[in-house]
Amino acid sequence: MWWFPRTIPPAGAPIDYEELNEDFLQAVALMEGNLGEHNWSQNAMTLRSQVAPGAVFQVFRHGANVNVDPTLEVGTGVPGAAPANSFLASNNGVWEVVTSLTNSSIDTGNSRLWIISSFQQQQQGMTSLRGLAHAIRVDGQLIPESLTGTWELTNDKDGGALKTSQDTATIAENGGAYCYRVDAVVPVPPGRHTVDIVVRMFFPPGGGIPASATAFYEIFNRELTVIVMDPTDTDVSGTGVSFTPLAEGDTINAASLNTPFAAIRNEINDLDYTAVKHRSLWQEHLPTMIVASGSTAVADGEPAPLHNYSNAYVDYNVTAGWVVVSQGGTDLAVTFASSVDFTDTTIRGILVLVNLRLYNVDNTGAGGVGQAFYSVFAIQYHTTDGTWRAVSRSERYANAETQGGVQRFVERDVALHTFLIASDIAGNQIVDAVRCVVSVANRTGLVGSIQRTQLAGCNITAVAIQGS
Amino acid sequence: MPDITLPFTFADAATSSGAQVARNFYDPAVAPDSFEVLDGWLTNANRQAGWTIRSPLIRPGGMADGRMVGLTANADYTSLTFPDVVTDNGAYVVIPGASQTFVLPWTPTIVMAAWHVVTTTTQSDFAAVSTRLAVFIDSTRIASSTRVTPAAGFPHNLFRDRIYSGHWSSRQAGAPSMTRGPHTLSVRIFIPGNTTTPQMTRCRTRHMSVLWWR
Repeated sequence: MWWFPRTIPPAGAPIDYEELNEDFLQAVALMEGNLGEHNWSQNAMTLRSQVAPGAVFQVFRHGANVNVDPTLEVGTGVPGAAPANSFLASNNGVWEVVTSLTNSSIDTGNSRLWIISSFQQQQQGMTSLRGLAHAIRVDGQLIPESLTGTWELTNDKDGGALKTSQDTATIAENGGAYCYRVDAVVPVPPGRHTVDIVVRMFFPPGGGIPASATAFYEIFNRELTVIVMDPTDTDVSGTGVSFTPLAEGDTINAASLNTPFAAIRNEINDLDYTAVKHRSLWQEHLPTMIVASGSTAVADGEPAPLHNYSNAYVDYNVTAGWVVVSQGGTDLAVTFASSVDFTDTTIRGILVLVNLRLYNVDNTGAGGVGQAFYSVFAIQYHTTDGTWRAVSRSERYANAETQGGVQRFVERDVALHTFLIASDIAGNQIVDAVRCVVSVANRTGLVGSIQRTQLAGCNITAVAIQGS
Repeated sequence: MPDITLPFTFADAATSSGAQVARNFYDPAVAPDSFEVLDGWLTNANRQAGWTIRSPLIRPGGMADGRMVGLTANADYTSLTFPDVVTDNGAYVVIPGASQTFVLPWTPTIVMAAWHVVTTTTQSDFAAVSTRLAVFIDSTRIASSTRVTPAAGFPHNLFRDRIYSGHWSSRQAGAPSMTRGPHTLSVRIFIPGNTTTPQMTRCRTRHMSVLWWR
């Protein structure tokens, strides 16, 4: 609401206390919870510290403490023999919640949720090409568009889920090792909400239920991030406006003019929370809640400029064996223009998204073909004390592909994500860069083999936000 | 606008001036020191210490917003309807459900997009030609966004599914300017038409999410 005096006393006219009161009270009325968007200047607040941490973003994170060692190092057994913390999907063809990828107490206002989840999938013994579908579920309702498969069960021969492996002859060994990322933007009404990541096995026509002891899907490393835009919060109290209007019979003198002017001036100079109208401030008045951000792409083209890697994977959650993804002198990394200092408790975290075009993983030496070659990827962060550190839970992998005993191009999109928070960050807790690294596992250690990963276009984005 | 200091203080025994009273109320100066500061000049300096802006005071969608579109019906594309080779980006066809036109209500600090498209390509001869997906923002092809959905080898078995769960942000070099107004973001498809055996790519469930943050 704009403010304009109802009466402008003309020069030489007697001062009327009622007219004065009207003008005073009009200003008072504005400051009693009616200061709207027009009353504040553009860029009225310029510092993040002037905005409560949870005013714009609230972030929930789950599964981040799950660490599953897939045992990809040389000489180990078939990955996925129920390692600790893995999730074994049911073979009964029902939707079920992935352990750790759920939250049933997300309180919101009229909010939008950006739900992001990424996870590693591993199968064993699934020779009949049953697939495992994944989806996001909000308040018990599947988000159909988030399904990693098809809803047209009558129009797809095998129906349902994604099946990424080609070779039924070797699929029993370790086919179908693949990682996924799902996301959805979902508007929600005020209240408490539940977000789940669910999976379900789909069967081909006539397919029976496989014996779960010998044929199954598992979910290994996994993470769920729910970013609430326009979260709910409670108001804080204020003292209101202290003002006494002139009364009939009051003497009009200097004090009776100065006192109300000073009272209202003091209120204008010291507005409390209750002066501001609800839902009145927005990006015209407030600073960005983005602490730092960046994005880097490793370009592709026709034909795709490939970049190759043969550095051997050493073991899970070790610093050795990784190299940064890089092509043409460009690393797949984001260096922040200003560092993200996690000792600032208003910083909620850094969202990191990575996509890689995995052109191929194969053997360039002797030793034959096979699916026991894995391209392994992970996200690392760098602190200003000079150390790159791995985020072990972000390790994802995809295996080589064969068909009829012939090595085939993999051609997969590999999608990673993580949300880094203060408790993830070691060292001096000041992060100035994140990057994606790669290594290549030759699990069975084929004699004479030279493992190779070939990548094409890739990109990484990192966004650090203030939030709660 | 810093705290205001009213232009006039009145003194006893002096004749009060209506004009001075009026200017205390309303003095439309460039940097007002009167109550006129309430007319859009308030800043953080006018805020009492000890409280910060909380979500009830913020307009929904006024600092961060986003929307998603998607489709679950299969969409089949055949190589017969495409040129033999990619000669320009115009040969790529927009995939409904993995594309959206959106309006930025204000110029954000960052725009982010995330999408997924589930594809299967059938072809019997395992030729080197394969279906391509690429992402376009305001008709500019995003560097790094090309993906290939390889042929399955066995028509109708559809074993060699692929999922492209991509992302993009306006911080990426070469991105069009994400100013207030309408924009388009689309996953598009191209199938080389020069195959001896017609090739089909089936796009299954897909979606496109777009978010814009102050």
